[in-house]
Amino acid sequence: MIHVKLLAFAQAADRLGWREMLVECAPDETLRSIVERHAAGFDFSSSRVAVDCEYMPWDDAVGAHAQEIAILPPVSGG
Amino acid sequence: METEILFTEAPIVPPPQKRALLETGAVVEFHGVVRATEGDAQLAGLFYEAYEPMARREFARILTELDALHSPHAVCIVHRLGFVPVGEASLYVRVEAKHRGSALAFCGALIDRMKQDVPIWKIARQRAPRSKPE
Repeated sequence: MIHVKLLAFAQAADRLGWREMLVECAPDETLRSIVERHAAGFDFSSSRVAVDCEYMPWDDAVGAHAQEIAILPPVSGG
Repeated sequence: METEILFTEAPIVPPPQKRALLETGAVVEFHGVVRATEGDAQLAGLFYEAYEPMARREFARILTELDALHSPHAVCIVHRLGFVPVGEASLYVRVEAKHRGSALAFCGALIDRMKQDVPIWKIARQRAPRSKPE
């Protein structure tokens, strides 16, 4: 098992009610499954996900060396 | 290509150009300014939040990809974070290139790509936040 920091930003953080938590997961667990365990009913279509600052598909495994998973709602900089 | 990517909670002051290149024929500057209205709502300003380490990485990736198309000499990006009142700039971009066509194209493409991929978010605020006590 590995320990990973789970981050939520902007509207995702508002909806979930938290911005950061430490979670335990298996390296072969998917990002979708990890987030689902900590955010029941989360609307995956509304957000993208990044592992260690790189966008990833929700159904990819977190991997053995991940340190941060970030939930990223649609961006709106500028 | 020289690049500078900055985030600040203070009003944006465009950084000085690092060096004048004799081959630079165009300098394009863009200031993105907070408007007083968003749809029907009257705003006091916008609050900006970023996942800063990833935002820097995404900007760097986009700059590398666009460099292959437009080859500017230098690019400077400053994005404001926190509360930005109406009338102040939230974004500053400066592109220095040999010709205006590539400088203008690079600037436009960079902002379009930022709005797709760089993890920065704005939240409309109808009231300015209270200033912190001294």
